Amino acid sequence: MRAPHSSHALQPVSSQVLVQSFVTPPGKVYLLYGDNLIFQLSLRMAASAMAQGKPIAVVDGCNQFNVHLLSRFARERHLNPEQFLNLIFISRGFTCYQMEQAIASRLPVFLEDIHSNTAMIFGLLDTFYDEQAPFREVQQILKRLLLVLQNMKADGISVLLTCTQWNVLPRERNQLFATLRSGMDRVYRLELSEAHGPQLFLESTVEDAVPLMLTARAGSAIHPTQTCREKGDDLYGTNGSDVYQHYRQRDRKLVKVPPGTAPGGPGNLR
Amino acid sequence: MPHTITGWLFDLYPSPHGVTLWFIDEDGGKHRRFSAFVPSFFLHVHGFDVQRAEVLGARCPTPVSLTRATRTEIYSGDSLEVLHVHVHDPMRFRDVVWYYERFFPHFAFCNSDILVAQLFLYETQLFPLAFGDYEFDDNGRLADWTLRDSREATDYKLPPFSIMLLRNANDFVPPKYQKHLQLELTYDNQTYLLEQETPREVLDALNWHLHRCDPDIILTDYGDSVLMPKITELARRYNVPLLLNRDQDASYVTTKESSFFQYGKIVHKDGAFELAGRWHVDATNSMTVAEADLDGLFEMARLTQMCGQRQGRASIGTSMSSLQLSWAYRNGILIPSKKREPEDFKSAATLLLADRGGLIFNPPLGYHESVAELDFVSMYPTIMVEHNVSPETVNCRCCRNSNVPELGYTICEKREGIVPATLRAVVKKRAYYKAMKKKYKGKDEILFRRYDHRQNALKWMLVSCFGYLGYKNARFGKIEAHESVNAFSRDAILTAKEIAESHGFHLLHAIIDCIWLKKQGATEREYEELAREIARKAGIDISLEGIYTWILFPASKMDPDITTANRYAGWYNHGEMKIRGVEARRRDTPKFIKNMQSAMLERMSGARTVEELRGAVPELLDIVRNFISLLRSGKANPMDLVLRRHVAKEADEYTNNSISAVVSKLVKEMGVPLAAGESIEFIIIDRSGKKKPEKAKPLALYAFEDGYDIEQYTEFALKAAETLLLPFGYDVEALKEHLGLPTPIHKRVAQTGRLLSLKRTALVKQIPLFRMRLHS
Repeated sequence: MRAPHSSHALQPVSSQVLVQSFVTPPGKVYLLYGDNLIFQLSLRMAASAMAQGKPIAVVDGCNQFNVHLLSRFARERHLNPEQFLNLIFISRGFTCYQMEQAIASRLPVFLEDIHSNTAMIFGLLDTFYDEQAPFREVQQILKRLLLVLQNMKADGISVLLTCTQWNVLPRERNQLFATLRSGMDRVYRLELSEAHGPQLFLESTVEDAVPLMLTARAGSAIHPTQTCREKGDDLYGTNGSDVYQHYRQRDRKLVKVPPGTAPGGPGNLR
Repeated sequence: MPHTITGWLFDLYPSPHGVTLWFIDEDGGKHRRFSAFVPSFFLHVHGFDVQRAEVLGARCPTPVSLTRATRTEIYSGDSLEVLHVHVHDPMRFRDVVWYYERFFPHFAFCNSDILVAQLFLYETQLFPLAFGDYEFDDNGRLADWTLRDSREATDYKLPPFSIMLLRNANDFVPPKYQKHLQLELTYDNQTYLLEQETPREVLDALNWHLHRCDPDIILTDYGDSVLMPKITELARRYNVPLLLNRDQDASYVTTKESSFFQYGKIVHKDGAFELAGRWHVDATNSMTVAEADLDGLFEMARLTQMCGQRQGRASIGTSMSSLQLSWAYRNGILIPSKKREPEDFKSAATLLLADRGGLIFNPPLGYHESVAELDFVSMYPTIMVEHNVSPETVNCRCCRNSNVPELGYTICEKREGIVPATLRAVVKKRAYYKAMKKKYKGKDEILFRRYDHRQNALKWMLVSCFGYLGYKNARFGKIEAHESVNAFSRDAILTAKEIAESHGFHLLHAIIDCIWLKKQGATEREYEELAREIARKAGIDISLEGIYTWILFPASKMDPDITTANRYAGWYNHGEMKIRGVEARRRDTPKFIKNMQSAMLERMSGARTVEELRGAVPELLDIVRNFISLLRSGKANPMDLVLRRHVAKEADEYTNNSISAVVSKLVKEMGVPLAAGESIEFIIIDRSGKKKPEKAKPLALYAFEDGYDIEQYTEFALKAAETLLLPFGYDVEALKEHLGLPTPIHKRVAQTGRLLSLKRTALVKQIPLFRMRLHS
């Protein structure tokens, strides 16, 4: 499996760079992808934060959340494993629809409940590669999720996404990874080689990112909280109506619709 | 002229203005009638989107009308305002859903992916094979009906079916592998071979038989995958109109074959080939028919309200889903088009506790005397029904009770969940059928078989209902409900253990819902009393399955010092053998090996004690020697050496040279591409590939001159013998020594291979967890 971006021109960076830049200041969306060790590295980052008493929420789409690694971390540092494990919260999703619901509807509210501003999302795209879900539908879901992540960032929440697969069959689904990258503030890649062991590369920062998916029409960027509803928009026809929207959502804040938001028009059928 | 038909609703399918219905009257007469029906789905949209949906409706190429409605959202129990989209051409129902899907996200759609025929049945509360008086108007349209039947009925009348069996006469290998098919038809106790020379004559002969028999049900072997597609293709080529459809105005309904993952294994499902006005049931593509015959299919179609042909091909999950959808439809509950309910956020500490299965106590290795087995009756379904475990009741919003042991989850006390509500009838029906089966055992073979088939069909539903709770695509499933059932089951088995031990019984083995107990001199009555006490305290019926004169818990194949759960062989004191997981029972064992192990078990059946078993060892060794001598003489029947495996991928996708890869490629060269999950039958001719590079021959290509791999099959036989003889000191090596067999070289090769593989994994293992240092 080859990385989409060659690492020839990139210099390896310390994992501390990733940890430090992710922790302060809050409010960012990072992607860490590459070898399976990304999950260990992510959990190490989570454990370091938890050791300081910070709660963390994880949405896991690839069943890589390893409780035993965390309890071992706690034992090695003479922390009470039970108390330690009560600082990290997990919700597993097994379909892209569940992942969307967990991230878009549950995660922001839950983070508020536990007074946390840090979340991790494991294997977001894994469930998107499932051919049972139509490609058109997963594209739309990913676009909606990128908007949600931007909203969370605007609310001061830091989100780390981890992803191992970026070269899948059928090939059309590889576009999803490119779409995901485009919505990130920073993209790190972890490589494992026999010669060098694990190496971390910073592939892109927000300056490089092309906000493709947050663009309604060519040249006109949309504010993350704004809903796209015009003909030809990527998210045309999606109004966020969700039969479960109200379910177990407590004291959800209402956001005033920004002036100038285009009203929904009739469909472009002919 | 208005008229009434007293009979059974047999078949139904959508037509442009409603639904076409087929009835069979009490004299066996078949009647085609119609019913007006406007299928509908719901859109949960707000504000501008309501107007947009209405405008889209006006522009939709298919006539639709929209109304406002109120329906219930299952998890919260809240009433929601929704748009009700009525589709005025049932044939285009899916097209209209697709049309709207272009404009609204998936979560706005409810009740949108249900088949029109099923919607009709849910709406009318009719069901396949429902007996009653059906009234029709002047135009032959269904006006009213009075059922003299119910889905809950256990003793119901069935139509006087005419059934035709259609198969390929040469069944040595599946027809897929054969260039020429010869059709064989059986009806009215007569079998006819279509021996005509030209395809046109064969098709004419088939039509003649179809006309003569006019079958309600055409039961085939490989009808979906081979026979029907080939017959219809020939009919098209030679321009011969076929009488396969009873309704000549309707067309066949076909679906594509598919491969999918199930419990970590890839499985293949043939596409469907459905008829109009008759049922085509492919016995090789129907789990229900394979497990429970047509009696089981009739029972399931009535219960799940799925058309007979669809039910015949449905998975257990789909059947269960239909039960739940019908209940939801009846109760005005919205059925989301996609399951979205994710797991609730839980702490890692809770996850550690909750993410566990049923409880298992591994048994001690070897033979044991006087061991009793007690089984909880339908443990998981009973837990769901008795404790009201359902996706919407676990951790509901309204109650606080911590009813789930260990986990402290809440279970709603105010409403009954969809899962217990639908399972209750199934549990009750199966208990009745089991009682009837017992009643007629040895007295009336026909009734015994009928009730056995019916209970068997329902059994699979009860077996699967628990797993389905946690299945990712289950419309009404939830992980927490799945975890709760496991927690209740662990609690029940621990309760049983404690009670048994308090009465001086020793727990030998336990696996989820069964316990094996031992107590010196304990009688059947004592065990039954114990079962009653456990049932009272655990809240789940438990029955004495039997007392074993002796039982063997064999060693694991991976580690000879430990046993594995659910692998045993034992002889009941009422003279029956029970085998689980050992070679004689496994489907992947060649018949020859099964015969050898069965002969050994048969010899062991006379033993009353472990000492008597030990005394039989020389005779058992003789059995092994005889079978192995036959093998090594090269005179074993190759048909008894056939192995069956499922291919994990298509032939081109294999990068290795495994036996499955070799066989898949050979089959593909024959012009038969195998899809992932399909099964292959083959005989190993040279596993090492040194003498014969093809290693194994598919059954369709096998010739007796190919011979078989003597060493490999000897190895299989020795392993099967070891399973029974290891407790008496005979492992494979000791058996070889005893039988004077050479030690093969490939054992050394295997060890070297293992070392290499360990070296390869070393790189990963050397990286200590959390101590990973990344270059800077």
